[in-house]
Amino acid sequence: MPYTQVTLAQLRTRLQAKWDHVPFWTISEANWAINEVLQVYNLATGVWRRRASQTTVAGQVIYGVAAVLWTPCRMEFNGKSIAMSSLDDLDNGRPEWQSEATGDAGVPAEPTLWAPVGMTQFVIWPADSTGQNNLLTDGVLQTPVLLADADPIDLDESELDAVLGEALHIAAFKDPARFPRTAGWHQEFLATVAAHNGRLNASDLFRQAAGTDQKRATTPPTTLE
Amino acid sequence: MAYTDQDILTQMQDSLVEVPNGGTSIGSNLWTTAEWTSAINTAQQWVTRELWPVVSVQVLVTVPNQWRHPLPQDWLETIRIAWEEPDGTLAPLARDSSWSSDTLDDGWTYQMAPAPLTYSDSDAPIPQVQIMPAASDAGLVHVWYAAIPPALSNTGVVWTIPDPLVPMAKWYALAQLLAKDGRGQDLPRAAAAKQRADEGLMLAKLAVGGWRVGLQ
Repeated sequence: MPYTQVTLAQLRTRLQAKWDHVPFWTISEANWAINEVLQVYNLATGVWRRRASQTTVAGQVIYGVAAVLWTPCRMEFNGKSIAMSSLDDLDNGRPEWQSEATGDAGVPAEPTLWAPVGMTQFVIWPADSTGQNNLLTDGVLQTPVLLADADPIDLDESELDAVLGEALHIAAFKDPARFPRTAGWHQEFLATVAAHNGRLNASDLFRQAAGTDQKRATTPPTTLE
Repeated sequence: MAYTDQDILTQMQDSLVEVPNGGTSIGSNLWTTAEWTSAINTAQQWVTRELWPVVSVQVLVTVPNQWRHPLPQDWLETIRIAWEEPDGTLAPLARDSSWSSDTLDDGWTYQMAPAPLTYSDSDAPIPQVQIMPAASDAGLVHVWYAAIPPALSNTGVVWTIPDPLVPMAKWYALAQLLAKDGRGQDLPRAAAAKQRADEGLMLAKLAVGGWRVGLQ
């Protein structure tokens, strides 16, 4: 994808270009609207990702994800991948998993499963009885927050328009007359994040908000000949 | 970066054309500062209850032959209960109800077992958890739960929920304020704000899909 690095000041300038009169928002409002869109964009797409390491603690089952990440996606223990499971699967398939550690009879010598717990935590099975081993997590990065004008962010150039349109729509909320007129940008933004994350289209709420259900209703049904 | 209550109150003040000052005062007098801080606290609890974004764990020491035990003071909703036997063996208790146990074994309230099989939080007084049948041995109850987040104010308290969830909480709070029956009421914008909160919630549910039973 054609990623480009843009600064907060550049984003704000392009946001202003979407409104060719005197801006109805302050610089501060534009800044937080842009940052809010980035949070939602990352939540919907997980587009900013990173690897982060942490050290196991002897006997510990539940861990918080490394601070730079907000949710884990994949995990390795000492360079060897461990499979993703779920808390329900562990509880139902291996009821005593929480009290098991490496070195116990009938238990793998290394952690072989991990399961997400909440958004920022996870459990491993079996617990590492010695500790001081390496857990490497591939996860979604905490959304970069742009505070200074020169703060940069990597964004897909082709999606900048939709991202800034959404920022405009958020900023327009203060004006009851202007807000409905910017609603089209919101739908554009939702369509953009859906291109990253096809699961979104499985949600009724999302399809209605994105306007895709209405579009479907206006299309005459086709028949198979 | 973690958002503070003042950050979000300032954004809300911008959105409602109030003087942005971290929520220390509401110039229009359409709302009180207490209403604003109440709105963001309610919003944070809404997100916490809907998503269980952060899991707290507490181990309760139990008394033998008792089937109801006090939950932690900051308990909001139970996620998982596990029973630890005196030998250290831990096993989850299945979620069930008293009515189910009544049907299965009408003597469950006085016939003890070395370890309970199920738990219920459906008919025990809040905040208590009920284990069934009561254990004849002293064991430990491991409670995994969603905790009531520390109260936000307008003094720089950091939000407990992860950053990506803060915007949806803000829109939820705005929806509450705009729905107030008074001069500040604006039902179309309240509905729009609630819609954005629900969309954020839906995005978050998809992001953590499978974590909470019935999440999708």
